[in-house]
Amino acid sequence: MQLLSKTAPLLTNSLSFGAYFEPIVQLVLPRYRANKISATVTHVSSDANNIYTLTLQPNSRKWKGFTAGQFVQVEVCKNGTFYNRSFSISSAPSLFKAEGKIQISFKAHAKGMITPWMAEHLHVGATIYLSPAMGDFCLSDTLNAKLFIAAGSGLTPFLSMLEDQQNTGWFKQSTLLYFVRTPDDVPFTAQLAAFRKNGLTVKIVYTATEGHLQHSHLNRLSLPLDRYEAYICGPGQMISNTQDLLIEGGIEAHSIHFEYFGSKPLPNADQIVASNSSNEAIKVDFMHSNKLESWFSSQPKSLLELAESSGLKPVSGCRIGVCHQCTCRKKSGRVYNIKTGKYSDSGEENIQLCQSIPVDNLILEL
Amino acid sequence: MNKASKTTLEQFGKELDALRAETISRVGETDARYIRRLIGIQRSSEIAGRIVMVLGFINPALWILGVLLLALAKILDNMEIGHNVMHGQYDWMNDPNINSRNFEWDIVGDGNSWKRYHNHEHHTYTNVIGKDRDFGYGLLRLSDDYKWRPRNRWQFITYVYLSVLFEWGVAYHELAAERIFMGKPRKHSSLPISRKELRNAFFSKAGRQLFKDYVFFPLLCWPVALQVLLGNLAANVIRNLWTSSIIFCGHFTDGIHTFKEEDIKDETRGQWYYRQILGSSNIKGGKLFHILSGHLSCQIEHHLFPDVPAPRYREMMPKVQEICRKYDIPYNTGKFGSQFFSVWKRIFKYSFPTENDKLQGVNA
Repeated sequence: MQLLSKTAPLLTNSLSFGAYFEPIVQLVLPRYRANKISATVTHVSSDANNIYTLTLQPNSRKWKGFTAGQFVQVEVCKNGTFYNRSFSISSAPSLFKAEGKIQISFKAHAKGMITPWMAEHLHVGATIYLSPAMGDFCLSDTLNAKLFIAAGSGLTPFLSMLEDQQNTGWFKQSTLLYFVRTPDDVPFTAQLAAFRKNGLTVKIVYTATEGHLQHSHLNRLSLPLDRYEAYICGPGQMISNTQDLLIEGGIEAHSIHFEYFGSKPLPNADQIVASNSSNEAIKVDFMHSNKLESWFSSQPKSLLELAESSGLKPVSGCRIGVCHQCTCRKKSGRVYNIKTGKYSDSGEENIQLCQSIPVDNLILEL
Repeated sequence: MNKASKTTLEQFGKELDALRAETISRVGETDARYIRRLIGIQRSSEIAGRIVMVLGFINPALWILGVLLLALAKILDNMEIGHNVMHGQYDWMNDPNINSRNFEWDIVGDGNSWKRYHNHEHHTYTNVIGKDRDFGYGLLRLSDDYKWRPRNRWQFITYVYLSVLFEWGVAYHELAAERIFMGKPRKHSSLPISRKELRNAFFSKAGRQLFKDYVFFPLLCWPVALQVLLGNLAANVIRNLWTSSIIFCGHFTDGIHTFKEEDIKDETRGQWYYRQILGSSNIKGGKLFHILSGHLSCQIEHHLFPDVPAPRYREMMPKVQEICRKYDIPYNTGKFGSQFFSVWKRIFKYSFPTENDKLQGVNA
């Protein structure tokens, strides 16, 4: 393999032999892509609150399956452009074992770039591309009772987690607290009813009238929280707030598992540039494009956004730090990775543009 | 620079901006399918060429066919695919292989080096004497702007050499400017990599190409190694002659304008467009001709809109022409034969001292 990957650029000027032969194969099979696993849409259903569920059949044995709670990156081709988005798998592992199929559910955001397009264009028979299942937001193997807290489409990983566990002991002692705007917006009603029937406590909170998670919501459940394990899934702000409340309520920090839907919110930039005591602009040099841009802590932007706002078009994908397509070589300077919370070295290395903000003056190979 | 009024040019620039926006709004699926298909055809042609060439021992005509197929593949790869992809015309596809960052072409010149000087230097300072080294490539005297020197007497022969070895010109262009192998290093260099990296990239890419065409494939077909080696050489030379001829017609035809550094001071968008048009010339031809020339036959449109997918230049051409007519701006186009002939005439003409030199050379 090592030899092949070295000889490909030598003999074909392509990154790999797969990349060289891909356009030739596409003359006959237009949907073929080298080094990608395609999947066919076998069923589409829609639910309340603009939520759509796609049933997907991966077209290759190379797609190895998943653990409940994991997500996949879905790549679609919209008007000639490839877009990546991450979605939790909402179906149970048993469905994949029995039929080789998985389901993803997503909300078609009215102003979204991709989800409304997916809802409109991905019919039965359409092809999409799947990454392997990723993420470690999975059930722990303890038998403790569990508290699941979800908001909006953050319910999807829990559907996958709970489906195959309805006969376990902890299922009947566990609680699902679900935040959704109004009664009309509740999706997956049949599944929720089945969970309830099998003993899960399902409590739905309507945020339009009752607001987001507060002490009172937890108090009303009157659960001995210190014996619970918590799983939270939703937007970034909701997760931070929920974590704080749960810790106050007595759950230990290591018993709280969470998954961000969407990008983690940018941290307070003042903290990040603390090491750079002055509040001056940080200079970012896009060396191959001969552009010098200023980055201000008062307007925190990722380096990808900074590059784009200065008219560059770096290759990018998921924009949440998963796909590594926007990886770029940094010649010098330090960056802070908002996903890992780590400062980089000051030397030459690859960084993810979408997850990095500058700490001091940077030179990027872009 | 023939000064057209600034306000007129502003209006003119706006019309071109609008044409660009209108075209970009239609770019999508069709363009993606086109470039994929073309790359598929180009690679099929390369593989077929390499195989058929080997069969030349059965019938020499097969050798010739193989050479032509391989030359075709190299021409498509360099012109319609490589040149345009590396201009970033297809970056919007977000394809891991078809983008200006990863694409590398089948030519001895390193793509990254070419991108630096071509996309920046040549496209920004088109035909500005002293800034755009593509004007004569530092080898040929093509206008009065340069003083006549005795060596210019033989420049037609230099031109023939350059055409046969064109890919080496592309490879060496940036190294010549930075005076990597000889001469004093440039005083004000904006080279973003070290001189050593530039030299290494040159040797690495040239070495890979030489190994592939003159060592690996000949040895792979051992009993007919010489036949394959010569076939690859012939294909490379055919490609060199074709690309050189097309490219010379883009900026060195009759009626092309050159500019001085003071002309481009505080240049507005409209003036920039105006200079690109005066400094470029088109070649008329059918669809196939345009594809084989990488749409450099639409050099004017390419210089106005370097990152618009090239096949779109064909539909932009009549509209650009109409806008030029409206503002009374010359639009230089002609058949391949006449454009090419005017390039030769220019090379000959400036082989000898011209009016300016007789007036004791005003230009340095």
